[in-house]
Amino acid sequence: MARQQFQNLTEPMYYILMSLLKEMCGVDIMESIGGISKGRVKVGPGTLYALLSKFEKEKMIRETKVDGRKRSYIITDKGKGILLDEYRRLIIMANDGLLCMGAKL
Amino acid sequence: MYGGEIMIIKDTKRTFFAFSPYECAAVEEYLGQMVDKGWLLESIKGNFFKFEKTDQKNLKYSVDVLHKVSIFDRKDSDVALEYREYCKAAGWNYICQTGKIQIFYTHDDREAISIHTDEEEKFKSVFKASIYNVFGQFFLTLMFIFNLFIQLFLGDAGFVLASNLGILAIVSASTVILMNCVGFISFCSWIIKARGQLKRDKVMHYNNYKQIRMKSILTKIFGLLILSILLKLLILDNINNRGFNIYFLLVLCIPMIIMTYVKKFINKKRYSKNINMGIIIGSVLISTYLVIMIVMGTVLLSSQETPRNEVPSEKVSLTFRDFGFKENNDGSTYSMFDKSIVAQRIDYSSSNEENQLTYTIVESNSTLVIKFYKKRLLARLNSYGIDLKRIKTSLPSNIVVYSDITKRSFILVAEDKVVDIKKDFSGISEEEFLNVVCKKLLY
Repeated sequence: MARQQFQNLTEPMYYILMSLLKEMCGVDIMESIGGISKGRVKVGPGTLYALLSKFEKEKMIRETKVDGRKRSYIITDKGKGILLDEYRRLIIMANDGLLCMGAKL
Repeated sequence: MYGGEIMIIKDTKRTFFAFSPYECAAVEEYLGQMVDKGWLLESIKGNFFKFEKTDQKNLKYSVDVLHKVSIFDRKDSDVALEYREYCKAAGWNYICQTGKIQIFYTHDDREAISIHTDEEEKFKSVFKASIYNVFGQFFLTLMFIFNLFIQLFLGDAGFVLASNLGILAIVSASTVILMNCVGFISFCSWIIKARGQLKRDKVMHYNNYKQIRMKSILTKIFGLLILSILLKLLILDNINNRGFNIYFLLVLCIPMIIMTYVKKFINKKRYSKNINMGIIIGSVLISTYLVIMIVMGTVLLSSQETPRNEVPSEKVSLTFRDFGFKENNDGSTYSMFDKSIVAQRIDYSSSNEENQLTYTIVESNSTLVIKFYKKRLLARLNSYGIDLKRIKTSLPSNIVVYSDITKRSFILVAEDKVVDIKKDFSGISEEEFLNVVCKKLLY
């Protein structure tokens, strides 16, 4: 079910999962996404909060510690698998694009 | 302007603004207009907004929906507090919450990231937060339709039409039904439009301020209507009814009072969600039980204590005596009178060992009320197997008479009156009987 739902990750999903390759709390994830994408991708707090809940429910991430109201997460093996699948899909898409459009670009 | 301004005291202003989660954009628009006029939102209680005077300009609001907040959560629950931290880090300052709605603001010149950057996720959140409300309203609408059906179409509509409390109940139920239908259609149209926009990868549209304003004007008109009937009920009704009406309305306030205190208690004690759920469900059950017991007790007591023959004698213009019978004082003769803003009703019954006379008169200046009551009365009596048919009489042509085969049950319909009369005695011809009834009750 989760595989099906997250077969194609949206941009915010992809960057959130990438950020969680390292343990961090929600607020830090927003900064991390800005850093990884060099400010191109911005994930709003509402979107982040909703996606973290969804990922946790699907066991793609897990809670590592709670410090007051600050909760930290890290990606699980299941989450890594989905992230890797998406990465490979994007590579295939990029390569296909290069083959078809390379000469014209 | 709209916003349902209630009052302004020095630097504080209170307004009424009813909205659903899927109308959050309309609230943002409204709050933006208020800032332009120098009013900054301070808090929301139910549908009442409290503003404070401000010199700040160029503020941007975000009326956000956090569907994870449950009705069993206390105010400022852990979920809400954690969420606000996320928003604060993104540059949004928290103002207040009402139910699942969290309201934030930021300065226009600051580059705060929008709270929702994924339209699909926002749609899901707003949809989930709205759907329970909509289902609740739908269920409530069905209950009210069923109630109206029972009162006006299954039971004796005359009781409701001749009682201000009954009229209040009908107007309130009709208002709830109409407003909920408007809300339901508005919600469905939002879903269709939003899904269409999302499929085309466009930004979702929410109901704007103009749309919500139309809806709220309707709410205000019906609110005023209900209030005016309520005032009539409490101030101008006859003495006997007034006491009962005030008592009845106070009894209905019990659940509201209990739930207000329970909500305050929950917010203060900060128990877990499960304990809150137990407290709220328990309180709802207790208050419902209390209301049922008090109402039943009152009905039982009043049926034992209410003296008969309390109708002023001038109201009862036709009695058993008019047909040559003596009225007994053993409780077999009774009459009742009730009056509302649309109709009045008189019930009379008297009997001795072998003979009986019973009648009900419903009188109204409204032709619509008379027509409706006549139609319902005929339908109800015919459903009991009393086959009422229109008969020819020597009465004036503006009086229509219906009778059953046995010629014991008659319905006389004039322009402003419907008389439902049953005679169980002989010694008087049909024509003579109808002439007496007509002379005494219809002129």
